[in-house]
Amino acid sequence: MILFALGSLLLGILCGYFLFPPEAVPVMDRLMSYALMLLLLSVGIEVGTNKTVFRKIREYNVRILVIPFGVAVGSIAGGLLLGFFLGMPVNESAAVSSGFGFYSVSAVILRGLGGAQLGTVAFMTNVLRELMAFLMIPFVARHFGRYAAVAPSGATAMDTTLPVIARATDDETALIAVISGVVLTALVPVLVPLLYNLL
Amino acid sequence: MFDFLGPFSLIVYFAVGIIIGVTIFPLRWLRLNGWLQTVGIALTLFSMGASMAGSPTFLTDLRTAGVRAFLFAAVTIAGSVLLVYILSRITLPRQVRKKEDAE
Repeated sequence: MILFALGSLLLGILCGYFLFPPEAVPVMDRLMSYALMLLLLSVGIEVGTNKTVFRKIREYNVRILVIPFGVAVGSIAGGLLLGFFLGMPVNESAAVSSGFGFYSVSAVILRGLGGAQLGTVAFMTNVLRELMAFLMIPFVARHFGRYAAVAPSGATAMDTTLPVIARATDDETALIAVISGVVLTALVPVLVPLLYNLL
Repeated sequence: MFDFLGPFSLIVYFAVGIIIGVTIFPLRWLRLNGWLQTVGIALTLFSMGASMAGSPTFLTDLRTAGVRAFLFAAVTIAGSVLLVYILSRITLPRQVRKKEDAE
């Protein structure tokens, strides 16, 4: 799965850089949107056919929030640690780490608050987080278990990386991933400016 | 189609899929559905890579923010995996089986 995902990505990068004209970018964006719609429909169908999954999810109750909480705190803690070693201001490293893969919103907010350079770092960090999540989820699922497999995705667990989570784990975890992704997506526009201004 | 929902627009397709799965989807097509997901993941990653590399600022962004962004992405993933792994072992039921193991 990892090699398959990496191969698809590399082929795309090579085609995009060497082969396709610049006009192909919006076409690729549209293709990605359609592929994602189809994928999410397909994952939804798989979850829907599993009749026991909804009963199991209800049994989790509020404990289900442990996953988005762990993703948020773990991401920010990791970012603060790295920021310390890189000599970055605490507020900037915390704000960049709290994008959780939601690159469009976090980059726009941080470009407005901290300038173009910080906006670019936030954009690239969160794009790379999404890309790395695609490649790492199968590995994390195998070695750290199904709950931890939701963590690399951050906010993208509810859309772009959900199909990979569903393939690498099970239907129950796919539904947990959606809930985690929704919570984290809602947190990004709140946490990014809050951490930047407070710390 | 559901752009007015902003970042939550894609969830609609997931919800529609669940409704189809609960109501009318024939179980004998599940294998085909699995293959569709594999093809869809390849298509998504291919188009994502092509879109990124086709951007006129691709190399500039990579040069100005590349190493720092790569490190941030790696440590935020590592931190979140580690904490979710620890918290889930304390509070959530253990894993029964993985899909790949079952296939």
